[in-house]
Amino acid sequence: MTTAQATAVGVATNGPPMLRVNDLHVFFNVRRGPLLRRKTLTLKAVDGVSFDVNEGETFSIVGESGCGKTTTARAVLKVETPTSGSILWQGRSLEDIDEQETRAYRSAVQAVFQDPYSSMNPRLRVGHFITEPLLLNSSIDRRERRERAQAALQQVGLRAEDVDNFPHEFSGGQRQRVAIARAIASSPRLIILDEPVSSLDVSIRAQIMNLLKSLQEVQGFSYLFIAHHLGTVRYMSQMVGVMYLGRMMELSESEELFGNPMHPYTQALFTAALPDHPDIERKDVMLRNDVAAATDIPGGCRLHTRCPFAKPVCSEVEPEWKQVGPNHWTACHLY
Amino acid sequence: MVDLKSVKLDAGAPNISLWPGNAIAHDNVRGSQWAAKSNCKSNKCLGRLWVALLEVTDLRTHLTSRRGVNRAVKGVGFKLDTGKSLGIVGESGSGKSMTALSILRLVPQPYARIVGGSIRFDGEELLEKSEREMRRIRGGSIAIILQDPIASLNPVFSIGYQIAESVRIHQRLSGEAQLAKVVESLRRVRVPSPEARVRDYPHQFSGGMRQRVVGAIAIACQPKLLIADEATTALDTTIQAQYLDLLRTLQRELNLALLFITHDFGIIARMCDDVAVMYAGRIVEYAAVREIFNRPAHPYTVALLEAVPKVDIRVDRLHAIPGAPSSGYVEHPGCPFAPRCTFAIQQCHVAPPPLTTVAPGHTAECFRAQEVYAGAHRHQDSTDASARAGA
Repeated sequence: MTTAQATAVGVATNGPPMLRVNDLHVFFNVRRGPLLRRKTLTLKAVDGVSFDVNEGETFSIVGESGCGKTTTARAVLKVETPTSGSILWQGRSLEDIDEQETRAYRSAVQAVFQDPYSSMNPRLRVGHFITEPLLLNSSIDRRERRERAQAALQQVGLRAEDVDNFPHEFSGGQRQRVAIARAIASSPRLIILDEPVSSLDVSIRAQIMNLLKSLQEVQGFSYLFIAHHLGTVRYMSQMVGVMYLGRMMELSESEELFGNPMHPYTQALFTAALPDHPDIERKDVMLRNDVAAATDIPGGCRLHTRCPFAKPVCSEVEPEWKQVGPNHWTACHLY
Repeated sequence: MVDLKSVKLDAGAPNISLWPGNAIAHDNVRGSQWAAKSNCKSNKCLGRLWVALLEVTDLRTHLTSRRGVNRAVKGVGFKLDTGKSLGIVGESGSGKSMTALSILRLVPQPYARIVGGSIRFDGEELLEKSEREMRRIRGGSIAIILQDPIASLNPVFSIGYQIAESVRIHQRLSGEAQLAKVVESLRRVRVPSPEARVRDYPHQFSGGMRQRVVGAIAIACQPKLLIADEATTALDTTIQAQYLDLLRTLQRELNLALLFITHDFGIIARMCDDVAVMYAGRIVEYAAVREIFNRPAHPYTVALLEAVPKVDIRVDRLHAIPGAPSSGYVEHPGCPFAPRCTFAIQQCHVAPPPLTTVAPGHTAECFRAQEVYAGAHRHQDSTDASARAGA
């Protein structure tokens, strides 16, 4: 099923995708319960996720907390080891590449996180922070590193002199610019953006999103964008995957998804999204209950305990991945 | 109380008065309309003057630190009536939370001090109350729900005990009556099987349910005013929607006045009757919710609304506001938004902007409010059309 999904997604584009995630599973063992009756449970953070990220394109993963979107990103960054499934970079599996290629991969894939301050050392100047990824490439000497850091700072709208400042001398929005400068300093191909604007003020958010968009237009970066705010996702992306409890529920071209959400979970997310205007009335799909625990995922379709349209079959059979439109797939028994 | 000399009640003509002289709220015109509509039960009738449930006038709260004095709230005024909801929207540092905390007199003393103004609640002046009297009001007739339920709940007491605490203190109930009250408020916030869950501890609840428990504590003593300070910011999208629906139901059932403090215009659009937009410690614009979205009259409101990426329409380029929000440490001779404002003229940098009434119940502190209001009106027609075309 998942291979079919990956192939289907591949057909839509020409040539091998830059990044292909194929039936990715990431499980963790967690110990739960009282001291003497402690049990080891399997937490299925990512439970069969497939998607492609194409050159110069933004692929967004949207979902609520605990749906596995960040774990997916961490697996792509090679921070988490997949339990099964594969991640292919330009057609080659990340498990097969040797140390030297891994190094090249690590400088080709960079990341920007929600809170830039926690990833900076408060005692080191930001120049050091920005040039750290360049240390992977031993042919770049100290002077060139500094020049690159200055160039990167200017590209993100800061001054070259800021290279000698400390993290605390920047405001929240400027710090996120510094984090972006670090990400682009090694001329990467793919940047993973994990909730990059969630902690910023509304007026600053727009600045950072516009910056990311223009950098993409000028330099052709690909983004793997992780967010929970639907407006942000619509603004940033070409393709969107909707995740719930470790699995992709719907995958579609962005405008198609926002115009025609198919999966009940996506519809529920849209219903719950705060309106842009008081007169906006949304389609009314409300989920019951809370999210199930990732250590105890319901059988059949994992949404059936909350879904307002659940049928008997939903609690028994995991739905197949179906194409419901051009560049639009969903996994639901309704279709 | 309210300086009626500077209030012009003829709604049609532009009403201009200069601050800092203007001690009155932005909503002076609406105040009279409300009074006409609302029934006598919900208002205190003082002679011939109608008084809203909550009237904040010229509130000033200062924070002192080693960096100097941060004028967090610089003369804020508004009214809120029973059964109504008012949203205060602003970015971090705009003074919106300090305004909420000032109403409960919960500002972090001694760094923070309410240095002036008046807060009249239910006909009584809160700033003149003793600490003992304030304790009776907090959690009694005014309740607050904060952002983080984990921080609001004590992990070592059962939630039943924590809800009972306010019932015991404010209503002096005990035993059966107390338990009944606790179960009733849990039922009101739609916690499933409340009789069984009163003995559970906070860690046994999910994030959304925990925030409901905080809600149960807040409504346990039938408050008249409920303040929600970023109450749903930490919740997931679908849980947030459930919680906002719950707050709206509670408001109807208990006839609450709701004061929403938020940075999110979406919450405002969904929940509020009236909106106050705050910037640098001032309410820069005040209007009914549709007015704010359809015809903003302050350049800051216009810019903020255009900076938010939309769920319902495709936007190709967001209009970012240049620069960063103003800090309360900096004194501006003119308008604090002027350095970031695309409408700014020379005057804006030197003199404080006047409070301008652009329509009945719609005020903005801006020299060019009339122009912005007129322009925004035209602009809205085009976006309306495109929104319809998109849908």
